[in-house]
Amino acid sequence: MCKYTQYGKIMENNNNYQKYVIYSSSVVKTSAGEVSVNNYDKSIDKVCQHLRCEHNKNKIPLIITGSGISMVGGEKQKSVPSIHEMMNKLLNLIDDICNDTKSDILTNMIKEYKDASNPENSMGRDNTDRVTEAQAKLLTYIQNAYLSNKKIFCAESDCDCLKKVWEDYIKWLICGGDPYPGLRKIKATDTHKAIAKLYKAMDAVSITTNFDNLLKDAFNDTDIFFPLLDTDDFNRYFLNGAELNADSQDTQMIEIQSRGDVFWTKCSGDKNRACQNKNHRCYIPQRNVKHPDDLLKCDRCGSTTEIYFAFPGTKEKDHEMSTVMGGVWKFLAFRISAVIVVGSSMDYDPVLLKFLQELLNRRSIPLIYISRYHELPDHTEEVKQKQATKIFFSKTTPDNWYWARCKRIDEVLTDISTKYNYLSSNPASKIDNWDKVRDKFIETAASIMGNKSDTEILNIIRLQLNNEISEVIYSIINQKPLTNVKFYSQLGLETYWLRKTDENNVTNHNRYKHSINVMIIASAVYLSARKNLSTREELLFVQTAALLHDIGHLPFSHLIEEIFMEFGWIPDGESTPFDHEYYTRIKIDNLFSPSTNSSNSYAELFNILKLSGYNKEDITNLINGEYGVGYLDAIINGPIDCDKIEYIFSDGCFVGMNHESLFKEFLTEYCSELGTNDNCFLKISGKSYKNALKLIGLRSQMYHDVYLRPGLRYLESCCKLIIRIFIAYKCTKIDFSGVNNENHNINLSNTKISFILRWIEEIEDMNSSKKIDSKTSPFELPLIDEMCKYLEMEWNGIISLDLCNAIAFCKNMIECKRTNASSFPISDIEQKYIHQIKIGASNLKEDALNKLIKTVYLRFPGIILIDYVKVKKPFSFSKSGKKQRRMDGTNESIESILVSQDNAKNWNCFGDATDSIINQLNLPRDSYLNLYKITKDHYRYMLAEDFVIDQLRQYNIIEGV
Amino acid sequence: MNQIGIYAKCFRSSLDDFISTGEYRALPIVVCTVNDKRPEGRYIKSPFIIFSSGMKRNHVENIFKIHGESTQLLSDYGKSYQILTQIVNKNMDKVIADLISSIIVEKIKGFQSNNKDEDNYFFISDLGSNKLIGRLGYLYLNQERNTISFVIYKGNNLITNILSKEFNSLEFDINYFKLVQDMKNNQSEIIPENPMESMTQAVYFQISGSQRNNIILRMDLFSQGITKNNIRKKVDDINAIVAKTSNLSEPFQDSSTSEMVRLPKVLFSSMKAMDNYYSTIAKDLLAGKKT
Repeated sequence: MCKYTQYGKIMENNNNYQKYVIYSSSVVKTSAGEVSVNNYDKSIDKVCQHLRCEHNKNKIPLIITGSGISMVGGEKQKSVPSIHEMMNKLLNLIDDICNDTKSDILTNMIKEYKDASNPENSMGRDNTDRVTEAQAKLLTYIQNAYLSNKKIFCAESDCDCLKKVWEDYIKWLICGGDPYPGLRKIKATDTHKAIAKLYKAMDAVSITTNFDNLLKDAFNDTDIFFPLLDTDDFNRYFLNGAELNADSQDTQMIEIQSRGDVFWTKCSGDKNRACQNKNHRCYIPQRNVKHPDDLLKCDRCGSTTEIYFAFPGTKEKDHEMSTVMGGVWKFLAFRISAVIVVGSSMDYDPVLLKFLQELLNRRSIPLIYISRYHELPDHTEEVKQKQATKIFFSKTTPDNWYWARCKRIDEVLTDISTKYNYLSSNPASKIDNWDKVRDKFIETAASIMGNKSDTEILNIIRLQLNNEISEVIYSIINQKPLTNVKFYSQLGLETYWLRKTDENNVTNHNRYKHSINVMIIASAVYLSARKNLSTREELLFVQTAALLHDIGHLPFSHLIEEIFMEFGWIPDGESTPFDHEYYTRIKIDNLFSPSTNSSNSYAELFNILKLSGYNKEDITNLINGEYGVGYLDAIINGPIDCDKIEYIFSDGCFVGMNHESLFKEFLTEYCSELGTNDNCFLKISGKSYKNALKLIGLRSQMYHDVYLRPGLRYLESCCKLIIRIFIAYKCTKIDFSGVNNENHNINLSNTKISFILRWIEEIEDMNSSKKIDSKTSPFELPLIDEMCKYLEMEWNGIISLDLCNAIAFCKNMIECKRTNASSFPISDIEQKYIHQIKIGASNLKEDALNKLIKTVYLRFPGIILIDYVKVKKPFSFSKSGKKQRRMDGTNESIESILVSQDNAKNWNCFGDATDSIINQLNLPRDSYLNLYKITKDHYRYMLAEDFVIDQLRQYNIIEGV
Repeated sequence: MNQIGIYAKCFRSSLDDFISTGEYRALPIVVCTVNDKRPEGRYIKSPFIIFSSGMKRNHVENIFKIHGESTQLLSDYGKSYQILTQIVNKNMDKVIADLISSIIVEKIKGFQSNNKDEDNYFFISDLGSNKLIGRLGYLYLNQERNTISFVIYKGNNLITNILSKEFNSLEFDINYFKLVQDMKNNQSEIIPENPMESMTQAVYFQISGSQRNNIILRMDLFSQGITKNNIRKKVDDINAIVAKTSNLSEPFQDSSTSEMVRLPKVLFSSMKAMDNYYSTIAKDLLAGKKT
């Protein structure tokens, strides 16, 4: 037997494009050229080190298996037949049984299939698609004849004989015929056994396209191994995973059968109409069947059954396969550390292929593709380009995708598990007395809440959490990208407008303080969820992500992002407009890169990564809520994450809604009944669930009373007007001639974005050197001042007079002067300058409204602005938690939280529970359209308002004359 | 009074260049002529490299808006070239709009610092793209002294959107003929009638052409936030400009339509200068050579 240390070889072509891990010293013929490179060992090492490292982070490998694993090892005659062998058998049966009665349709279909599969007709080209299509057409016809499916035409003369063909065929498949022994007698191959070893070594999960269930045979009787066949199975398995603690050893292993629908019987109930199997799918092969005829009978009541066997290529099968893949996305996909494809060409599995493409496009995880090569009579080996290899191993193959070709695929798998077991695993450092540490974090979070300066909160942390927070966290706290968010008010200019008095705590309500408190709350929630499984490394990872989650924010909260979005500015290499998530990724990348982080702090940051075992991509993924380990995503970016807990309470305290006193009680109770299950989901039950609902209710209230208050939206629109004109003019100063355009984008968005961000950084630097006084006003106000000054100084006389007046008007409004200490100017604005129109949820036509907003903005310069406020959902999901269309036909959102239903034993996905939670909270359902007057010219405003109302009627957004 | 002619064009790699270099490049150039001055070109010194062999998979997919196996379509040079050309045609408007709007603002600022009382007339070749009109719209330029008009002379573009919606092609020909017949003072009515319906207002001008025929030019006036009276005034001013043959080029035959055309002189100068920019700069840059 070969050892991976002795015989490995990698084949690369001259252009260093294709990588073939070759498991013998034989030469492989490729169209691209032949170069042998002996780095098989290195490749296996890299893969195993990656798998080991990711396993420490709760990530698991996914193995995709195809019919190849049932056909290697052992004696050939004891293998599961290939699709070609199965087709040949079927054609022989048709010849025997229907020879004289075949309709022209059936004859033509058979001819079509034979022509397509005859290599002489392919003229040397790949005709897999043609074969698959002809095959699917023929099989669907036979299947429908058997099931008497009236929806699809089947010639009457074919029906009876094809029924007999189908029954005989199924009997042959399961019970065999010379020399084929039948599925009942086939045993697990060496490859199955090698896969079973991988399962045990690294908690692997597999998706299979095989219907033979042979992998189960490779496990011991004591192992718990079972297939997941459909959505119900997924829910049962993932929702009800056991509660984890340090003592439990979970050994349940699953195989996802992507063709779970492929092979089943349905009892007709003619012998027992109350049979439990009646009209239910029962999976075969039934290995304990004694006589082939029993296959066609229900094993409970003996009634006749219908046997369904969906072949590759049919639309029906692909659709059902998408449903299964939907379950994979929902519960598993982002937790995958690497994909190992074994014995699957994917020629007949387009859905699986697209799933894999989508997954690999989203995540830069390794792909290990293992396939056999065929020895030709001249003792050279033939490389057949299959679908998967054509797609994945081309000129653009990433460095961490490997194609292993070998004579025995089980040996590559054995090498992986051997090497994997050989690599040492650094034991994670457990946190002793997690509950006492958790209580300290809760205490500190409560102490920080309220009006305290940055220095005060840092002193509190030093005092109360001296032993609980490592020094590396302090070094992140002092990093420039984080300290810079001190300038940004937590609520943008709302912080200034909502201050209780003029001398109030404006500068204390900033994103820096918010980030630090999110870190402390996240620590408490993490410890509560993981209890005695908590580790120092994972806690450090959570804390790092929590601290950095807002560093991509720009001043004015989301306003600038909205303007970038209106302008359609898409950064290089991205497919969506600029947003803070993108900028966070860039900033984290710079922070942790020695080449761009010019400060001396890189060594410290590098230390953080080294200590935690995580990398910067992990941090970014976690901040985006798509790291893949459910409880971590739920803590950092989920519907009830620590960011929301912090801002709802701290904003509430700031605007005087008196949540400060409730906070400690809330956090203590919320943390009391949290947990995680063996599939790494955050479980929320009892008091924790009640408090989660309380938080959702408070959030809705904050949206209604604060964030979406018409007066504040008005002021924000005034800000946007100024910022928008400023950006438009500022960008005309860019010297486009020197722009480097090698990034393949056909626009100048990146140049414009960088130009504006650079300007903001300059103002930040001015601010930090105290050239701008921001003691009593947030940084955003001087920024608006700077913008207005720039427009006045540089562009006076060039901007239209109406707009200049509107800018002055808006600036005056933004400054929001109080007439006396108790006055609240926003109420005045709401009375004098806003016309609010209620819109029923069904009449809200967003496309029409967005078009109208733009039309009004461009056609009535400086007179009117419009804005609409949608019913705010009580909680928001990260991008991964939202439904999105994928290439494989799925659109499931990705889950991270489970909530208890009636009692703690029944669980539901948080996403699926959305409707019932909304009903429970009885939240408002109307949307509003706000018309804002930004001129003193009442006559022109009325003309504009008439135009808007007329348009709203035309779009049927409002009714009546 | 200042007259400014702006002519923009996007040059692309030829199929031969694409095959030999493995790169598809695109270079937009904008040429601007102010009064009698020498035309000046504005272009980006490094052309857009839309595609290069060996580029990263996610870039390919981003550009072509495709995934995975569809990238195989691109293994055929001819097919790739065709798709890339379509992508460039669709997207280059944005870049040209950025270049033109920054030129307009720069010129207005320059004129303003020299003499505040002068009126500026910008003649930009062809239909204003939505992108350019949008960018100008977000600038809210003072229109009192500045008139921006898009000059249309190619047969297919002479018909406005409003007219094409109202009539079929035969009816339009009849109406167009009537429109030309009914012109008073060599200018048509303003289309559309209500300035709120569009950010630009179209007017047809009849200008003296060769001995046999007069020439029809369509000009779309950028009319953001101005009243009908102000638009009327701008139309009269432009009519006065095109009535003077000294402000116009000599009549010439348009190569694509074989129609006789006569343009504002500043625009014609920019157009002629573009050929020179192609031969001296664009050709080399597109072939991957440094200039």
